[in-house]
Amino acid sequence: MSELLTKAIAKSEQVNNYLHPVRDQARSRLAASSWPNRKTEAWRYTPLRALEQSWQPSVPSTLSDEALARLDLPQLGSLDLIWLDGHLQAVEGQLPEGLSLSRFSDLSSDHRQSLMQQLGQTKPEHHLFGNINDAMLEDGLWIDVAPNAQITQPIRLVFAATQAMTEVQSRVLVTLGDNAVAHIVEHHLGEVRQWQNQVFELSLGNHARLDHQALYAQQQECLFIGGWHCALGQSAELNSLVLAQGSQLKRINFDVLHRHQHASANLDQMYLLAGKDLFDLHSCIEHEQANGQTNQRVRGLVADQARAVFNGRIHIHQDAQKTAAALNTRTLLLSSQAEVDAKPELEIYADDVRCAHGATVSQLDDQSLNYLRSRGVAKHQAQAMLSLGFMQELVADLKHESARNWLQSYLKQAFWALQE
Amino acid sequence: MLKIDQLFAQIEDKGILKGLSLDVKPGEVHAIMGPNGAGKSTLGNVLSGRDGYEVTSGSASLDGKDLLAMEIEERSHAGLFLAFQYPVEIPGVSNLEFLKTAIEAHCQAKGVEPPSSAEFLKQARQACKQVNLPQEFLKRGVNEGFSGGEKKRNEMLQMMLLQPKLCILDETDSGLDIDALQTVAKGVNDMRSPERSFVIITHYQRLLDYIKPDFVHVLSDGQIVRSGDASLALELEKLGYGWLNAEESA
Ligand SMILES: Nc1ncnc2c1ncn2[C@@H]1O[C@H](COP(=O)(O)OP(=O)(O)OP(=O)(O)O)[C@@H](O)[C@H]1O
Ligand SMILES: [Mg+2]
Repeated sequence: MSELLTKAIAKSEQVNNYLHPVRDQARSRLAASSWPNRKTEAWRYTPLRALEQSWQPSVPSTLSDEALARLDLPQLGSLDLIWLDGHLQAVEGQLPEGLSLSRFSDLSSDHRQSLMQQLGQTKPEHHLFGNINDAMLEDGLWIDVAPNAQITQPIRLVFAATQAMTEVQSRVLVTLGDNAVAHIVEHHLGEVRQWQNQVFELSLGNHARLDHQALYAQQQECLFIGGWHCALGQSAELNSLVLAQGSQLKRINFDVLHRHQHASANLDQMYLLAGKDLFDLHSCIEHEQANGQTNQRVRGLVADQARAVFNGRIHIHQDAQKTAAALNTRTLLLSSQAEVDAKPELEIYADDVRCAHGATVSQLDDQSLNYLRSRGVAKHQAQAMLSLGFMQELVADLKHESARNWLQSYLKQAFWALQE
Repeated sequence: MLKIDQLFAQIEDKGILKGLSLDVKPGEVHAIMGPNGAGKSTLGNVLSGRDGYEVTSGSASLDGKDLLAMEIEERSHAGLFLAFQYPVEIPGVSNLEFLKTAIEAHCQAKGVEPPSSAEFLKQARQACKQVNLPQEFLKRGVNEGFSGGEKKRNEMLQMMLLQPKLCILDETDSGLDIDALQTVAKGVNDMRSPERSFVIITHYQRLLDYIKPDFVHVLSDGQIVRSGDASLALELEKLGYGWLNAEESA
């Protein structure tokens, strides 16, 4: 067993609050699990060596105005929730009606009970880091949107890393009642060496809609392991766009569960990697019930000696007749030493389904290149424009203008930085 | 301005242009007509430098400079413009950004200061108006989801902004409604000048009612088989291409 795991279990035993059933259960799961090695399929291309360092707990601190300005957050007209090294700052401003935000530690005993019923509902039991997150669970944030509430103002969750050599475990639960609408933006940033282990659990009621954008912009030094697990109610709709830059270790498990019929998930996932970065996206879409729809588009640009890992599993259960699921993944390699390991995994147990998947390492289109050059654009610049366009194409489809502008300009900047 | 002499070109070992010669002087408008598959678009593509075409012999020059030795973008900087028969869609690259980059590249090649962003935007909007394209089209991906006619207008818009010396229009009139046809014709006529020449590839006399050509050529099986003045187009419209072959074999 690794030292990290031993420490997690030891620390877990010292925490004392009402969440102990979650911790206890996780501890026993951890005791029975083994640390991944080269032969562990789920971690084959993603070494965890970098985690074996001595991490300190992060110290709670208050975000000063200057520090806030340094974060240089774009104006999205959003309601902002800021975690500084894992510590949630006080939320300013009036909450829209129908939205409630509660720290796990602040809940009344009634609400504690319903929280305990929600936790672990969407997160798979076998995820090692999910269990570590459970074992260390002291606090978290619960975002609840009441049935029928239409929260159009984006709720922005900012996760900023500033304390070096610290370990941050964070936990967020999002629940949308029936017919509720919400828009959540995640912005992860920071340049220091930090280990972050994060779990998001989300549950959408019947006919609920969640629009979601996440930017994982943590730089090279940051080691990030995240689980994002979302369950869909009947006719619920999830529209999610993820944009990630790589770092020394960055892994996201992105799961969507069609627990009821007629739900739809539109997932756009992109990565832009350079240097010796790594980005590992494992997505798992479970169609448990009939008439569901998933449209997943994954695109990546990989430069230098960076490496992308993508594992896209779509599991269509026996009862999930008339499912329409499409997974398309395209990667552009910008250097001969760049690498991508992309693996779509389709498991289909229903017979009346429409399912398409494709994984390609793309080339720039010759005709497009010719077109740009014929208007005087130099070849190398035309190539760059097309590479960037390959990514912008997905962002351009975003309906929310402020989020779209933000991500477009972020992508552009990140891309040109990579060209230098 | 443009001088093509005994040009032979092939695609994957298949000869398409078979000894084509053409001389276009400054200020002239030449129309090229001819049956499908004759090699009209190939001529435009070879001149603009598209990959995949191999010139096996002959020459082509623009203002005395050897076109065939230049890179695609250099030909554009030298003043050549081809309005494509089938403009490609490039989602993800905004039209505005594309135009701006193209203009800047031209300015850089000429060694002049590029226009400021505001100045450029003004020009682009102005050009939109001239070709009757709503300004929202500047924000969209290059030709992305444009209708056939809108793509052609976008080609015209680029031509207006780049102010080339030699404009080759490859069936820019195909797929245009009558109003758009007049818009294109007006665009060309406004740009006509003693220093600028046009080569207009078309299947229809109609466009030539609006843009009076100085010469009309018939391109058939990779060669110019007949040249004449504007009246040749009227004759072709009436008689088709059959009589040319009949004459040849007679
Ligand atoms: N990329 C290619 N590969 C193979 N053959 C080609 C290619 N491009 C053109 N050709 C062939 O070359 C010949 C000339 O084509 P071209 O497009 O120049 O004709 P055109 O005169 O422009 O015809 P149209 O009036 O239909 O536009 C045709 O037989 C065509 O099939
Ligand atoms: Mg043609």
